[in-house]
Amino acid sequence: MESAFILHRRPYHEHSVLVDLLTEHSGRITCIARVAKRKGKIMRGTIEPFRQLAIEWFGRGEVQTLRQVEERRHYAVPISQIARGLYFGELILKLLPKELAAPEVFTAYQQALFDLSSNHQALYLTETDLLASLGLDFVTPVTHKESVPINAQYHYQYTSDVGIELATHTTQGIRLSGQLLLNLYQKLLLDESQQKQYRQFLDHLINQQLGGRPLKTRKFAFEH
Amino acid sequence: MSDVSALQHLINSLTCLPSVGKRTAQRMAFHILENDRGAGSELAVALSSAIEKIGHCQRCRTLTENDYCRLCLDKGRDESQLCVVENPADVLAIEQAAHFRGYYFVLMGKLSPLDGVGPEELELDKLDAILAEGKVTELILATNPSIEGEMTAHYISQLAVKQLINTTRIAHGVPIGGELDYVDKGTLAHAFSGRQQY
Ligand SMILES: [Zn+2]
Repeated sequence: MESAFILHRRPYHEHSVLVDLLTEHSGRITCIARVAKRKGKIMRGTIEPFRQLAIEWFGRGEVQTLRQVEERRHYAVPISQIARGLYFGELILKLLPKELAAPEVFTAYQQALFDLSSNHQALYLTETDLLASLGLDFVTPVTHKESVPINAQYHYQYTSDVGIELATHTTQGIRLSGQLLLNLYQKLLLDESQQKQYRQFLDHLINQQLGGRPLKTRKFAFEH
Repeated sequence: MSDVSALQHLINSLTCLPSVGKRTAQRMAFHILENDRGAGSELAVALSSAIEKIGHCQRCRTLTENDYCRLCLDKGRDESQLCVVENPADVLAIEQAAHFRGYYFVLMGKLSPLDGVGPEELELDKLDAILAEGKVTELILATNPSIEGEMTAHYISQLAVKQLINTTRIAHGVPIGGELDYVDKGTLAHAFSGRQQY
């Protein structure tokens, strides 16, 4: 059996659900699960996000079949943070291609659920680590190309080609202050205005990665 | 051949019903065509007239043939209590199991951002308008204890907080992932009377 998290599930005909899962070693998969309310079958209540499951599945192609599901751990995500948890899941759904082994994403998501359930105060750091696992790694003490130390007084920009480099007023990258970048690198708490600046940076970055396709959970995670 | 496709069309259409797979649909279709064409016609008429006539209550959103449902029109109920549920079936379950004399608001679903269901789809502005009338003093959250049900309860409680209305949540004697209309009456009555400050 393999460890997995449910990122999304929706009813599929009467007795089944269509489930998007993040597995520890096999990446992101989509499965159909026949569920029931009786013991012995896959219990409907088990197919919920925020639980670490051990699963067995079979089949080939786009949609496979869940054979067995056991619950290993239930993360008690506070009700007020459910939307944020779904948002983290959607980041994985949108940024991680299917069936690409990504144990680092699994670990980062596991940490994210732990942070959510332990009322971690700096969820922007959690999000930073999750994005890094998904290939959006911009936290660095030096510029990516020239390896020049980040200066707190300067502004930097991020592009997926070059990474972090000194910002110029002609280029179109997403800007970030040197101070903010250094604080992120040292995992220091950000003050309110830095948090706001960072949120804008993240939204812009994710939006660019998704080619403008909106994240459906974003509004719930940050505006309510 | 068009007669074959009419049969196939009927069988396929029947599989839209809960618990009806291909085999059952086939049995139903043959039963109607071989034994009971009269009842079949009646079913067809009942179905299309229900679909045509039944809409949503303008106040609580539940299913009704009229502008307002029977419960909303019942002036004998307690307007200080409003119970929020996901489905019309939940209203029936609570009416049968719990001694509740207040009114309902039926979401006809739950918040599910990944599926594109937000506050607009659930017409939460209608709920907000009822709360703004100032008569409700207890808002009872009876959404299911699923992830989305909890998120919906949380979102609605925020609406109530803005209007300074006391919010309660039915107790979780209800199994996780269970649905109100499946839970037995005793458990539901217990969950309802044991509701707690939210
Ligand atoms: Zn009504």
